Amino acid sequence: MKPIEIPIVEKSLLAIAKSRDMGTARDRLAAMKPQCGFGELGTCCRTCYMGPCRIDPFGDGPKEGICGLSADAMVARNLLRETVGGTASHVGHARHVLLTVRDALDGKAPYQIKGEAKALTLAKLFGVATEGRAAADVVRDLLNIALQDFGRQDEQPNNWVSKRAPAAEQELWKRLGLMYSNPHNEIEMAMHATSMGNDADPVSMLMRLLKVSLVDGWTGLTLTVDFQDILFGTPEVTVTEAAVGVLEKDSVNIAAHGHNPVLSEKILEWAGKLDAEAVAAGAERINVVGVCCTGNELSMRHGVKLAAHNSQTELILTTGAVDAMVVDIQCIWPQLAQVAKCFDTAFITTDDMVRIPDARHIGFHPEHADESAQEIIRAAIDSFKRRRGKPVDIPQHKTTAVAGLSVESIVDILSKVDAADPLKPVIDNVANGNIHGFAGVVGCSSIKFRDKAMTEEMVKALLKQNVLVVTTGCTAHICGQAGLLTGAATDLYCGDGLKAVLTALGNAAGLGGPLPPVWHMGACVDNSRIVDLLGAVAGRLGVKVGQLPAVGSAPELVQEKAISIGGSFLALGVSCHIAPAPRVLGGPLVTKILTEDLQGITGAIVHVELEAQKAADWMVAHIAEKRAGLGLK
Amino acid sequence: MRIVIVGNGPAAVAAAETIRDLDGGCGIVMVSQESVPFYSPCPLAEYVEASVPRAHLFLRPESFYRDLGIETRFGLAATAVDSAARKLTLGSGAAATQLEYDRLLIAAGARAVMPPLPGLADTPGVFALKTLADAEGILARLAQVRRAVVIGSGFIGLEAAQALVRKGVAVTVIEAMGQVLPQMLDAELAALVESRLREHGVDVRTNSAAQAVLGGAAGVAAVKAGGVDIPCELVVCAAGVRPDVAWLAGSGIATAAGVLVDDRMATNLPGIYAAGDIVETNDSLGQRRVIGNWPNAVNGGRIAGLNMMGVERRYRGLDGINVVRIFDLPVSSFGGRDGERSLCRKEGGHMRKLALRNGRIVGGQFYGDVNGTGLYHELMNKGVDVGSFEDELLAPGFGIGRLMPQPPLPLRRAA
Amino acid sequence: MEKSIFTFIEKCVACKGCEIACAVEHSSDKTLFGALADNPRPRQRVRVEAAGAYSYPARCQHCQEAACIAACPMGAMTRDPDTHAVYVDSHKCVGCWMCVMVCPFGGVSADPVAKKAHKCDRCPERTAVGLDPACVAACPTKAMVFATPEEIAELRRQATAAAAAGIATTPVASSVAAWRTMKGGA
Ligand SMILES: Cc1cc2nc3c(=O)[nH]c(=O)nc-3n(C[C@H](O)[C@H](O)[C@H](O)COP(=O)(O)OP(=O)(O)OC[C@H]3O[C@@H](n4cnc5c(N)ncnc54)[C@H](O)[C@@H]3O)c2cc1C
Ligand code: SF4
Repeated sequence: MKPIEIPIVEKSLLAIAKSRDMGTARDRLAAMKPQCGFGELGTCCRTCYMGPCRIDPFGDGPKEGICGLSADAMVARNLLRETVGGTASHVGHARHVLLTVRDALDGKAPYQIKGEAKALTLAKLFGVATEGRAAADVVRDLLNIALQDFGRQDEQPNNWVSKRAPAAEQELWKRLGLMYSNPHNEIEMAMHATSMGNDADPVSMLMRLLKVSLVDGWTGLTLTVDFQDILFGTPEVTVTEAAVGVLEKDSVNIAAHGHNPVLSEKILEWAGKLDAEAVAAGAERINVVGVCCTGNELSMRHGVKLAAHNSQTELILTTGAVDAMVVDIQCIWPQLAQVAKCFDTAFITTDDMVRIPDARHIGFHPEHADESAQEIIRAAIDSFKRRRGKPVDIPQHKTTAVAGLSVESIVDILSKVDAADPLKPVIDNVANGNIHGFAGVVGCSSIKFRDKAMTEEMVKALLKQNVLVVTTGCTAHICGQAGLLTGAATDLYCGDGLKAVLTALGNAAGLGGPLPPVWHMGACVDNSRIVDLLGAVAGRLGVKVGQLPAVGSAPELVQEKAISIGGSFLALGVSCHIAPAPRVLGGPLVTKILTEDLQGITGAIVHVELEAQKAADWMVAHIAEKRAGLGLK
Repeated sequence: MRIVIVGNGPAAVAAAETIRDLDGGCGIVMVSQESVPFYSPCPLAEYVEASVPRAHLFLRPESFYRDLGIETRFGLAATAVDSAARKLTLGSGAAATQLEYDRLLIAAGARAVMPPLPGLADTPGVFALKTLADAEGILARLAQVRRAVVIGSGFIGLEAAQALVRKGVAVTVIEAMGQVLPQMLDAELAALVESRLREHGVDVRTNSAAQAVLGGAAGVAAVKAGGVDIPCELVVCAAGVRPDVAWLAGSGIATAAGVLVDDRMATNLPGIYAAGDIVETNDSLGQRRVIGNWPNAVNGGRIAGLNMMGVERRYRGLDGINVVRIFDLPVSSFGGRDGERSLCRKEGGHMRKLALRNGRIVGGQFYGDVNGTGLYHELMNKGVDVGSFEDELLAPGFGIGRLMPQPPLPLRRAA
Repeated sequence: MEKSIFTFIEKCVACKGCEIACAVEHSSDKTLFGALADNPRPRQRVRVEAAGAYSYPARCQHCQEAACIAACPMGAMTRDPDTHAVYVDSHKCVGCWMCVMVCPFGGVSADPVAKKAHKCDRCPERTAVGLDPACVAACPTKAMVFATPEEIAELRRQATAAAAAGIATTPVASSVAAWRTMKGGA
């Protein structure tokens, strides 16, 4: 086996940081090591003030908390609280988008509804009349249906999950008591249940974990994406570039970082309008580049270039070439403000909830979106003026990447092959084994795994074994930087079966070459697109999503959001590989439920594996089991 | 049995204590050309600057020699050894006396190098900083000193310079080489030291060799260096130290730069041993060298004492370690700088460097943070192959834990 | 024989509780919150270091032939005649760092604020009244034990005998074993 090398992009970025004597997260991790075993095992409880309590995994010390809480209950409680953190993030994102749509409809916020097609599709699903009505009115009806969920206290099923989720799964969720009504109530109840002296039953807490994860899946991800598509349009296939080399020495580089396109769409819009000011300042142009999931949003809808995934955010600042990094919400390292200080970089926070010491804060509110966007861009131009003429150090790496694979655009491509039954070519090739199955490789980029190229190596191992990979979030950046989001990668990495299918499909669709073997489906909220895709395939086959030869993976887990997203996959019956281990190993029962017994409940399990090849092998084997279940070889 | 020890420094005292521990009855005579009891020369600069009181220099109680039954001959220099007759000569000319011994330990230390510059030897106000007498001489003169020149930028020169700065004296350090601390650091680290010295007001002049000391009977007026006269009222000559082996000529004791000893600290002649700054012997990597420092003196003295009493103990070799504080900031080094490659880490104004050869550490230099130097030094001494964890060596969090033997991983038992 | 601190590396979970307990013990009023108010803050003399799949609370070994005592040119590094622990007499220490240079374990460090050598003193005030040193007392998994070499030999003997008889003295759940294995990896 050839030794796995640190990806070239991180290698050159780290060399720059070193040449500038700047410590990075890798150094902070080294200083943090060894990391606390109680934390890693999940057996540290700080819920009440008799504690903190820690349970000794070896048995000579305490075996339960002061209140008598068992190790299993402790890890379940901690994991449930992580899940709530993830769900709250996505539900918060959804609500922000809904309110922006409301303000746009009310003429209070300068946004145009660009996704009429999406609104019409959803209208049909939700029974909203469309005949002869203005698009705005249809959208307002949909909006009211969505907003109703946030205020309801009638315990009636939540509108979004009950209309958007596949029916068979809803049956199961009802049986298990997982259907929810008001998302905020679930978040409140989960926090309540996990505060001192409430739920002490690990099984009950794990069931609540699934429920809260469903809230994330449908009121977090799906609702967000549905309304982002209504507001900004559904992504279409586009070709872009990835990696730090997309920064331009002589342009005003604005890196948009975070998760919420409500800000970055405006930045992009005004960058176009204010280009002349940049030119007047001596720049070639304004170069808006995408970082993290805001980057993904912009790449999906506008082909904006992808500069960096999350764990590279501090590193791209060390190039000295980023004139402004403007951030919205989630995954923003406070360290960025400190690194920016060493350069002429304006580090700008915009969400009033995300305040970072030493950052410049330009509060961004949809009603004043235009003014704020201009202020931000002018700040970037000012930084550029200061930077101009100073040396910068931009590694020249960049790769071509195909993005914009929404379900709609995938169906679009496939209908060029079979207009009447677009999914048929894919399904046929799954049946005949050319496509072994599907893997959703999603989530974060972690410095704990980056230097051994965990995601890329795992994805390559999957492709080799004819597994078609879909990706979102920071793993999409990783795949992009590794050149996996191109047709060329199909020839390079895929097994014969998959290669043949992608080539045939690409040619039939008139692309003049193979489809990429890894499909970039968007930001991390866009995991709902993966669920929609699986739902469509399952519906076409008349099976449950959980029966499909499909598996999920978060190979470089960092954020709580990945836990709640993972939970929503598990509830759907889709098993998940994860690395590193979730913090439950101190609870043997919880570990067993997640890794074994859950199979009998939702049909999915969690599998932990830290090595790329072994992780891929497990996923391939797991898919093989699912195939066998469907009677496929 | 009578044991005679030439010297009253750490090597001599460590040997005497070891010998007394092993044998309560034998005769021990300690000879020293200085008249004061055992003291530590290391904090002499701090003594000058008054941060260490005089009493702290003396590391043993007043009753030490009495308690251990040690006969002292202080204020007398040993001048010759007659190994055939087993006699040591003290003093010279008419006053010379002789002392018989069964075993002899030569622990006479090193002497400050005084270069043969015009005016250096005989102008009042010129001092070395090697002995307590030197320090007291400087202190006695300090009241009339506004400006001082320190010749030499080794660690003693720099310690003298900062002590004087802290006493309000304007100090110029002149160094013949292109950098300060030339024995200890490479140019990159030396540059950091130089700028720190300058920040604290020291006028550092490298590539500037002293040519003459100017002045007269009233005292020094200037030092001529690099063609310019640097006016001053005090000169500290810190041009290095060297073993003084001249008085052993004709004794038959083998010497080179120092007294040659084996790993039992024995010289070529039976019954005669040597330890401390005066010896030349193998370092921990097997290279024959003269390395004067406190641990080498104490460890060598102890090994000599044991072997002199018939307890065979071998010395693992001299340790080439240096540490100095530059206005409170620690700077250290060990081993050599002649690696094939070097690892370097800079952080928060600190710098750490390791020199590697064949996957092994051969030396290190540390500026600002010296913690862990001993561990790297030990890795060098043991010849540990660090190739497999090279990237971790200078990373934060590296420590002895990385080198601990690890138990086998636990068996997985059924839950 | 006098007691010393032994480490059972397989039980350390790197919680760093010993580090906090050590700092608190060496603070003015020996309470956590008091320690936080001390200026300068007390510094711990034990540091939990990564050791592959394991972790190790590293500190002074109180060596029988202590290199630091030999190296100290101030007579500040001293062995306590009663407990045999090696400690720094901070009145005599001038912060020359010779001890830091020679300790092969990294067990002595330079305190940049106090400018004094800094190391484990094995908690003389606690052991004088029969208590274990603070780090030992704080260790929730009993990875450190304060005992005589004979007592330790007996503990090790019992463990080996039990293992030979197929009884685990510390039954480790398979999930915990998995954690230990993975700790080596990431
Ligand atoms: C200012 C200064 C700072 C130092 N700082 C450090 C430091 O931080 N760390 C460190 O490790 N080392 C330091 N050293 C070096 C350290 O002091 C010596 O390495 C150590 O003292 C050597 O011990 P020794 O016993 O060999 O010789 P010395 O301590 O030099 O003792 C020699 C003894 O021999 C006597 N003597 C000499 N010649 C004769 C003779 N012919 N007849 C009779 N008696 C004689 C002397 O009077 C003296 O008593 C420093 C030295 C100085 C001067
Ligand atoms: S730092 Fe203090 S204890 Fe250590 S050797 Fe120097 S004087 Fe002695």
